[in-house]
Amino acid sequence: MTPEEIQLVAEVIDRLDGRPEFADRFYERLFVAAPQTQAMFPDVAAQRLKLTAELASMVSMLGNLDTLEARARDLGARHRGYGVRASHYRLAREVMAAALADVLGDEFGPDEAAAWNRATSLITELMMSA
Amino acid sequence: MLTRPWPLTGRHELLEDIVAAIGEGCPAFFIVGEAGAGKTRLAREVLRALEADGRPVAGATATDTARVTPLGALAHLVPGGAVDSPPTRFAATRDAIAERAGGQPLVLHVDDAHHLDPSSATLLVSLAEAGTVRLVVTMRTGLRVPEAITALRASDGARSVTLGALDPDAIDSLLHRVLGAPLDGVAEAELVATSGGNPLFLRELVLAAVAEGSLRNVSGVWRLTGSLPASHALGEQVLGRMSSLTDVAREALELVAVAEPIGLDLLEALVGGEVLEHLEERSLIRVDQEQRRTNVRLAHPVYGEILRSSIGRVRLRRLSRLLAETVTARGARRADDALRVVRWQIDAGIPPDADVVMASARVAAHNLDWTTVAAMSRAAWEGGVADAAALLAEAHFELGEFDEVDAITDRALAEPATLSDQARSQLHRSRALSLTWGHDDSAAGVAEVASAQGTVTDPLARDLLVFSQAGLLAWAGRVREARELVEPLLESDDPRVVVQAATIVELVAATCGPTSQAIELADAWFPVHLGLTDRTGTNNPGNHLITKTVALSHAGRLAEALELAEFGYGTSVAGRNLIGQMWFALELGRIAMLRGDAAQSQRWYREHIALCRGTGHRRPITLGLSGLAVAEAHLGDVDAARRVVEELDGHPSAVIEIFAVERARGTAWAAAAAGDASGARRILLEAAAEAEALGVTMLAALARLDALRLGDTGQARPLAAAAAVVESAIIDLAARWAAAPGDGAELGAVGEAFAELGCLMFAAEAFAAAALAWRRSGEPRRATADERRADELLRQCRGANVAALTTVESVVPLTAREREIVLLVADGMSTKEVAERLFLSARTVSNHLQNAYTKLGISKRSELAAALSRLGGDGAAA
Repeated sequence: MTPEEIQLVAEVIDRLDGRPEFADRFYERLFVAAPQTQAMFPDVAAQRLKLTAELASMVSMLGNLDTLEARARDLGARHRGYGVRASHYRLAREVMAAALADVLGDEFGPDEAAAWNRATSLITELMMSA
Repeated sequence: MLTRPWPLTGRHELLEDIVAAIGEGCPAFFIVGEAGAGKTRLAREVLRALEADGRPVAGATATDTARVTPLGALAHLVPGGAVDSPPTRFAATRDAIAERAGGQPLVLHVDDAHHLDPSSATLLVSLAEAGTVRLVVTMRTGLRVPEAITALRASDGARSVTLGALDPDAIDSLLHRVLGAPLDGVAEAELVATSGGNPLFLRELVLAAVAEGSLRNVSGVWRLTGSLPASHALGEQVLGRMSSLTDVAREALELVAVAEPIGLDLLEALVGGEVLEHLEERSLIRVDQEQRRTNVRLAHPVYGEILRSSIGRVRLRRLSRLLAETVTARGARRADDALRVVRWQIDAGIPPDADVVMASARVAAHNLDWTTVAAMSRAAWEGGVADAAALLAEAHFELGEFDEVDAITDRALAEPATLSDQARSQLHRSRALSLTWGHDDSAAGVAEVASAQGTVTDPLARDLLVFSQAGLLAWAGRVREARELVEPLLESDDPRVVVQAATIVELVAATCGPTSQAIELADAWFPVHLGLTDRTGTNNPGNHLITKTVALSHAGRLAEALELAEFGYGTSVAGRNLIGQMWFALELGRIAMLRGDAAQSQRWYREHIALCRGTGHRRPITLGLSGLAVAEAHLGDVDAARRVVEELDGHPSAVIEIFAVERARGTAWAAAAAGDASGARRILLEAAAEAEALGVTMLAALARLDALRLGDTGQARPLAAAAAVVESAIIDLAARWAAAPGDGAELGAVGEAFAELGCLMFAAEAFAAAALAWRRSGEPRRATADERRADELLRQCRGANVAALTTVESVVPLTAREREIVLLVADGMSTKEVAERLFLSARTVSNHLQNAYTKLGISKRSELAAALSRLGGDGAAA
């Protein structure tokens, strides 16, 4: 990722502050696109609360690969335990971008979307390497 | 991170798909892609994941330079394989792989399948088809692979994926991970665009740019300070990285490129150990311990291609000379070293001793490595040995490259004065074979060898042309002409002629009758053929044994036929004679079917078919497919039988007319299995009449026996006529059966006699007919006794229930769907499983099943097996 992209992604995260509907939209869309994933998240309410915070935390580490990698591996190992597979990661990335567009509208433009895709690609690749 | 292996990126989804497919029983998964797309890497990750699941795994790498060695790609799997002599290697390799597999299928990664030698390909495909191994095959887009591999890829259950470019997000993630820090926008865009999404190219670009200092980490961000190398070609990129090597290191790398895999000791002797350490550190070579040898290869196959294409002719000659001389001076350690030395001599332009090249070509021909034969005999030909054209043409014929055969024979025969009579005779024979099998014109093939007979004076050369003509006539079904032409040769003074002529008469006698003639000739001439010190121009002595096996089984001497076929098969395997193995597998399939063992028969036919695909000898495949259709039909696999017949229909038949009736038997049984017994009978009777018109009486009679088994009542007279000619206990009994409708005592006696011959299914069917006759004539106790005997015999036939059900189709009018469902249920499947298998609802399956029960006169599942078995014993049960 370029430093500019990392900056754009950080701004996206800032804009999510105080917008819990992002997590709602994400899970709604995810469960429509892949109903079988519902079983992987028995406690969706708790998951909703954690999603944005977890994202913000990872995004803040984008400039420091070692820290990010350790965190992503830990998270990836847990996801593997839930039965999350590579195809789910792909789906989650798509759904997340759509949820961001839902919630942020014009504030999530083409540059933000491109930067966001780079970030989620890196994070999910690290998670899948766990 | 940069010089360590880069993390797998952008391929995890595919990785999981392949792991799941192999885990679920996929026999072969093909990963296809451009050079550097990451095929091998992906395959290795697949194996790692499967190994973590507790599956046995192994790898095999084919290389361009090792291709010259038969089974070279698999040598490392055999304990002591490196020192084995070629004749025992095929069997040893197969056994070693089976042993490694233990009880479970071995997951084998075959890397760079486009470089596989034909023997390895054949072995791997037959192991995959037998379920002993599951293959993960990586191969380059658009390159030719051995035909066995192509066929495997197209077969049921095999899967393929094409590995495309990595998407820009994945490339960005990969760069971020290996560089460990963000990258500036210019560098990122340049690397994404220039690499074209090819991971290997990306790696080469990054390594070169970092080494040159144009890509630098400036305060935590990677920046491109210069520009990336101008060339966008991977080749130049790789060569650019190598341009900084010392001359010695460069030469060491080139030696590996020319000779990989090359023994570490040899390479050390040539360039010294220090330079090799340097190359290994720079990830340009890798060193593998394989059994007793330590081999050196280039770190990526692409390096070899690039290096080899960059080495000029003069330099290649020098390197090849160096290799040839060093190996010769050190003494060839392996049987295959001699072959490699000659190959290097050819590349070195050292005029190889013509005799030595021809001797090597013959060694290669013995190994059935026709690619090497072609290379060597071409070298000898171009080196001025005119007669080498004969072996060259033969090699291309064996490779199925008929255009080459035509070109070589045309060119060589344009100057007949330069050729010996032997070579001319051989060239005409090759041209005739090409016309026949390559251009489906058997008449032109016959004419070619007929007209050539006037152009040679050497008696052996001429007689072999006559022999060839007779052979082509026989295969084309013109058996009377063939016999007339070839029988005088049996009187020749030259044993080389007699043994050849005998093989043709044996073939005709075994398929037409009398069987005793084939057996007697084979007994007389096989030892002579084997004992010939000069076998110039003669075919394999094993041909006598193959035809004798056919004759014995047709005569009804099944135990002897089985013993001989097993001996021939074992000897062929041990001697790495794939052609012999192929024919004996076919005969073992035929014998198993005559004995009533459809499951065993199916297995042998499948092996035969795999071997046909692997050896380039595709022509007998129609025989294997015909037999397989019969076996599948008896096993009740209607779809499989239909698919086999569809494949059969795609093959030309004009040049193999002598066995046309066998083809019809396959088609007929597939029809019978699908519920069309009357259509099946019609096909059989038409084909039998045609075969009889040609004189192929024995095979025709077997088709008539099939028609009889399928309920035809008009076979008494033709079977009696055949029995008088063919000398077959089977046909004698068939004639008695056909002549005794309604005669319970006679039918029972026929059944007992069939049982004594070992023809268990025929025996069971005859007893069933006897029981029916007894019941109709009002003797229920005798009927019951014969029913019991039929039951007993059927139980000894694997797949017999199914066969019984299909053969009594005309009596119990189950629809094709009902039959299919009943068979699956009888096999132990639940209604739900059947529904899933057939893509039907459970309700539909239940309805079909209920209808079938009604027709079978039973009310529940537990009665099904008994009903099926009873059906086999007494067709009137319903």
